[in-house]
Amino acid sequence: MSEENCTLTRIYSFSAAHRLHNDKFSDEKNKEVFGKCNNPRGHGHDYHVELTVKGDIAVDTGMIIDIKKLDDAATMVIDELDYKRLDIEVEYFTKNRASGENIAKYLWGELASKIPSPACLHHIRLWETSENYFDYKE
Amino acid sequence: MIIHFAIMTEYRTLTKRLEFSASHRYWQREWSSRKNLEVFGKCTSQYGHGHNYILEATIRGPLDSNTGMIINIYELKPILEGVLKEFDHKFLNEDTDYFEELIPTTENFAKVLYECITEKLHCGDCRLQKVRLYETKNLFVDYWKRDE
Repeated sequence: MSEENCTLTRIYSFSAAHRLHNDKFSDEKNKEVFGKCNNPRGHGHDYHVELTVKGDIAVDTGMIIDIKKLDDAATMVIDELDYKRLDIEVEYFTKNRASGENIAKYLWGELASKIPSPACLHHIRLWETSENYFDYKE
Repeated sequence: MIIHFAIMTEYRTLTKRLEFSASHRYWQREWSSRKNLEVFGKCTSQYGHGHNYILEATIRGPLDSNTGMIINIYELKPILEGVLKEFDHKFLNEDTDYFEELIPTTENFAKVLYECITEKLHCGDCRLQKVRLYETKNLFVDYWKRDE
């Protein structure tokens, strides 16, 4: 019970456009379900990603992860989304709707294996606007 | 018929946020200058560099039905300020006793603050649940001892 727990959270940003749309729905239903987010020309957000990693504090460095390596891994993944129209330019989102829920899941899938060990990905929080965020954890 | 009402103690948390400023340097004395630079980069710079840290201390305790509080912030704030006094406007490596052996990384600093606050917080059944330490607005560390 007295086990020590330490997580480090780094916050990254990217800007992207998307449109929420389902081809199986009628135009009317798309508008009803997705509202403004169904605008055919898309719309965009400044996304903020809170990436939380967990691990033991290494005795020689005092760190649970080398932040530069974390930044390199995260930037590589996030750059793929930055300044893109997600549902057109990013393959994953041509098949999965570019909702906050799915973007958070996508980031987990891309990042989990790239976190330098022995730390591991613990939690992702994706802010779509300052008024809504999505948590994802596996 | 006798009806027994179970009096359930309600536990709640409260988080107090405080800002302070300090400088530090990452230096592992067992390594060469070159290795320190390689591992810690700019953070190993000889004379230190500083941050405006934000401490968030989360306290958990039973709710007092007389006050509707778990701890009076008027009581909590001076305890936290007392802890931070040792670190505020200091060069962590040299002006404090905690970082002679320990490198003042955000992780270790959060751990030290957790220990210091735990030691000074004597208020009924309240206890420190977690420390969150922001080094910059884009980097913070959480430190806690139990999984809840």
